[in-house]
Amino acid sequence: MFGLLAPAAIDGALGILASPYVLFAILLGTAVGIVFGAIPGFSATMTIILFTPVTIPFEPTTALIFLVSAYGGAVYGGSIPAILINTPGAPGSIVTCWDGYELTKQGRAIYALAVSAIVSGLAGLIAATVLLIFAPPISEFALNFGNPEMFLLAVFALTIIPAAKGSSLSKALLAGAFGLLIGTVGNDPQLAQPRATFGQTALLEGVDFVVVLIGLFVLAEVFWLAYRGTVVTGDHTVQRGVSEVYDAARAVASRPAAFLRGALIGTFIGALPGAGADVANFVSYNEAKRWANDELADRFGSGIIEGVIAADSSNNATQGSALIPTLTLGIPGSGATAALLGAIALHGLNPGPALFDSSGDIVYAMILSLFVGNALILVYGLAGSRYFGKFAYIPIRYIIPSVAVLAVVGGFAVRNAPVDLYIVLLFGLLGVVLVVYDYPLVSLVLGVILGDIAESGFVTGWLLTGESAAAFLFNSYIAIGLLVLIALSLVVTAIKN
Amino acid sequence: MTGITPPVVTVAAGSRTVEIDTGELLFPGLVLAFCLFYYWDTRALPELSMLYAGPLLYATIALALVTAAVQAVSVGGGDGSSDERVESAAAAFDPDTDAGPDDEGIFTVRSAALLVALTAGYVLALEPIGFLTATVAFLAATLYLFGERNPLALAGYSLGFAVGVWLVFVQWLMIPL
Repeated sequence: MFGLLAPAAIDGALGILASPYVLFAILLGTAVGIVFGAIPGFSATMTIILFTPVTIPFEPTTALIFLVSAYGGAVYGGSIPAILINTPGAPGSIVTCWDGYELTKQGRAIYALAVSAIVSGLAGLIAATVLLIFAPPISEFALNFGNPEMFLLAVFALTIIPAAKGSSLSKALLAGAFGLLIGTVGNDPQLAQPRATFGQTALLEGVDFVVVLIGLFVLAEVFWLAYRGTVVTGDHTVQRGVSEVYDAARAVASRPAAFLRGALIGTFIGALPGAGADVANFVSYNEAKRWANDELADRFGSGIIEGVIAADSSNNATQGSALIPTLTLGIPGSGATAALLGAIALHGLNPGPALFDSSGDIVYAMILSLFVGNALILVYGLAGSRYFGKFAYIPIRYIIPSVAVLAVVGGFAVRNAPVDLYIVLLFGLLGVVLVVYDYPLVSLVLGVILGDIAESGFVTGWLLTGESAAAFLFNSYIAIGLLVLIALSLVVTAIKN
Repeated sequence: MTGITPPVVTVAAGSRTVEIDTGELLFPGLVLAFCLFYYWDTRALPELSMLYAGPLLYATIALALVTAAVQAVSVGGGDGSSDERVESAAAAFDPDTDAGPDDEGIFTVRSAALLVALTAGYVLALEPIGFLTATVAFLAATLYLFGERNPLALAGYSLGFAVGVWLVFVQWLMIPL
């Protein structure tokens, strides 16, 4: 069936995947992701962002597949410290702590870790299938988007975030508009006149959004970590042995409905812009509780395996579906997908509706690599969670300075421009302000990312439609549909507030 | 909570009071400052260069003003009793610190502020004193700040990590740090 949709691209992708380098990139990427995900305070977003500069010398396919694998590994890895030391490795694993850590206290850490690995890997496979089915038709449809539609799509992406996240409309729009404005810094696309470049030659090409991402999602996170700290509690006796893993497999096999529910919730929420693993695991846990009988519902949080299944089946499922809007429309819905899009752009591919058309083989190879990667999560998780678990105990006082150094070095490495060091620092500070005052970080980043698309879409569309607002806005049925969607998301936000 | 909360300024105007949460003004204020610079920097550009950026600039200014007005300012009742007062986001913000007794006093606003200062110093020092020196000094200082007191661990980790990063980025990736 898939072969009919894009035979050449799939063939090309399978060829790419057969390369030993690429397979090694998946093996290594998944392991690197799990290790960094397992370090408390290190999210999937940070892992992708910090490894992006390191992939620069590699060819795009290998580099991007490495990063996609690291992404999946890191989402799973975040659950390891949640279970072992009651500290989520990332926000997507907060809920995993509730029952996972209780199980550790009962001496059943290996059992909980094994269940986590099984449901994470399987849920990831389900979401990857959804991605493979839905991405091609959506990307084909997106090829019909003209200039005005691209501009409206950017506006829609910015308006749906407060609707999905429930944050203040004016704050989300302000963050988004500020991001778009940052995106216009540099030479304008028509006459190449410099705009707000502070006299910096490097800024003539604009503010690189990978640099902005490093500031907002890595350095700001480190500043924040310095204030928040974390908890590391003592060791617990751990039951070892194969029987724990066998028990884990039986626990999941006997609860297929619980697992499927979590995986589907995660897949659905992951596809929404602005909501990712952090939202999915809360929703999934609450749903699991709601569907349970009274006796079981009361025991959630006391160390039951249903809680771990609910949390971890949902968070890994968000990866595959979050890639749908990212790869087909060039609209990332979360920090992690924004980071991945940054890497795609850094490697010279054009993110946006044309991505499938121009680099179909690479995109399909990325999608297919998810199947290998998630199967690997299962293998790594079952065989080595005990070893990966060691990374959960790295003291936070070592993590803070190390990540700060990597943020600064990585910011510079993106394009070797000293001015980027200051941009990382500025956005690091700005990120703290945004988090404290509840502005959605994703809106700002999305603004910067969509800046170019929005500007060229607006300017070219405006000139082509005869500089008339009506002709521009009602350019096509797609444009009208997007206008309706924009209006809808504004109404939803207004109702939510 | 160990946080700092920007003050809420109350202005009495006749019988009514206006309360301004200065913290909520922070981001809109920064955006406005950037917009002013942007306007000043681009005022001489031809219209075509600003076809998109111009309207966007005005929209951003408008959003900043609206956000500042909606989020920061609240009008109190006649007697100044502030039952309608806006809840300061910073005050309401509780990061849910689970820090155990040992961690108290290490992870505070003060240490976060010091980390910001150290990072700024590190960025500034990179060029004049070189990557390795600056990185080792930054790592050691930050480790000390967050409670590492063992001199061997301090020196070993700072040196090891800096050399590791130097090997990867400078030697392998050829980044001219």
